[in-house]
Amino acid sequence: MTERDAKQAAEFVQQVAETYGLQLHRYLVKRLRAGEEAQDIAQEVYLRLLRLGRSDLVRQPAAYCYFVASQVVGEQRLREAKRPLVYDSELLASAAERGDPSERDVLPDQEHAKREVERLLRKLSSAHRAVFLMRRRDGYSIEEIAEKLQMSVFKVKRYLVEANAKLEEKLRQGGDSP
Amino acid sequence: MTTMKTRVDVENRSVAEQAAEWRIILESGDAKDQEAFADWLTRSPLHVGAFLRATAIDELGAQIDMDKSIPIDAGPFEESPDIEPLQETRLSPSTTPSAKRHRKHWGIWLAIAASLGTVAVSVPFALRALAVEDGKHYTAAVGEQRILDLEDGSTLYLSPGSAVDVSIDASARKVVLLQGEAMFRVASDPHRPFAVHSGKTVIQALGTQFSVNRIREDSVVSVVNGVVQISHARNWVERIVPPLQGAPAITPVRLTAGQETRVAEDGSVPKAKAATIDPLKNWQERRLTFVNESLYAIADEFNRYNRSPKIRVDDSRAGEMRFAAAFDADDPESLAVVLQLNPALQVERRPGEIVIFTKR
Repeated sequence: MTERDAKQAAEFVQQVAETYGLQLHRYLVKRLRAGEEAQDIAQEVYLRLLRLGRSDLVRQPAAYCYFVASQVVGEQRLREAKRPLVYDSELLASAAERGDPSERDVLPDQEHAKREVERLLRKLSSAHRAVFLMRRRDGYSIEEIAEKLQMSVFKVKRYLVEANAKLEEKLRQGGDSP
Repeated sequence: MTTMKTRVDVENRSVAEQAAEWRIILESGDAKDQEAFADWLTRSPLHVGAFLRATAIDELGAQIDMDKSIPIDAGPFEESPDIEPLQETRLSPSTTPSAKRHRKHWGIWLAIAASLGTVAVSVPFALRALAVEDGKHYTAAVGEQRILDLEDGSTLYLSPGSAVDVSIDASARKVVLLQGEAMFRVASDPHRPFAVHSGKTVIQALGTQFSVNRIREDSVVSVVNGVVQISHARNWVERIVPPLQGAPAITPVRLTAGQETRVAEDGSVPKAKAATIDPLKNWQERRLTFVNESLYAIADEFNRYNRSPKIRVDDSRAGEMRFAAAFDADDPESLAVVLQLNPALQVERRPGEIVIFTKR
């Protein structure tokens, strides 16, 4: 592969990762709790990343990760749609090349996931909650947060990491369930 | 010594944290960081999964709480941040006392009625007294989905065209599903059982997520998380009069995650089976999934989601026909198309409705 081809391929991957980000994201959020299924997806993405070759991967590993995951998820959705049903509206939709999820599909799903995160956020310590909200909801930089909350940059990062991991854990466990 | 289970837990948690950490590093990372990240990513499928999930959560974080209703504490913060506040137990002062009074009053009255042998005469009074039981009434209009945060921390997902009565007091949490479908995420509270009444069926849960759908006379119960127990609600006559000999004894049935069952109006509960319907997915994606369902019931379900066109099934032969299918709930036309393909049926589109009948 020439340098130019590689660059084009990289741009393509970036584009796809951006385009399918939302769909992938919806899918992942929905399956956070279905641990086994999510792990199957991760396994498949992992195998494909290995096949990709290191030189391509190191250029933009995150974009490749999203790209491959969106492919795997897309295939999975197709397989799901082939469950033994007489009729399935999703099959029809893909046949009509309405590949993208319609807006009304997105709304209740997103609403549900957001509510869930909002609910779980209230259960975090006030420091975790403050740092996560300032960074993600309000868009402050890590340095700005450090200044506003009068803590070190290192600490802000630590809280951010912990908040994300705690939310992930709680979401995966399905919130309040024992 | 660390047991196997806790070691795995710790490992998992640290992978989640590593993933979140990479998200932060990559925000300002250079080529060397990219390389190190690529190595980390290809070390284990667990890393891949954790990174994708960490991304999903950060993305969600950018979309939540747009009206900034969650306050940010100004700090300074305590050193040990690892605190999870216990959930507050809030009582509702307006509903609690009167609801209790009612029940007490009621019990005495029943005792008197029973002792006097005036059971039959008292029926109309009994119905009225039950109907005014304290509680809040919630509805979702046709086509509308609602998420309700209950005062005990539970969440109620109300499907279109559905109605519930909710009463929560110091000793019990009760939801009456009057019509339609609702999904519940129950906040754990061992001191206050959470029960859903659907017709004569009672579904009892402790820290669980499940859905109940009233399909005509039946109640379809499907469990996402935890365990529920299904039993038959005894009416007040049954409570004071011992069951007749030979009457079918209805024993409670337990349902665990991934299972569903369909309770008939007479209270008989078939054995639990693996769920064919994912209530969470259906709610989120506004999908209607039917496995061997009558056309009458399918029409009802569509009509909960759509004001127009309404599906009307014109004769019972068509109505009793059964189908397996999955639909976009907002697209009744797709049902019409599928039914048209059935040689026994005729479909007519009239203003505001789709009429289905058997071919004459």
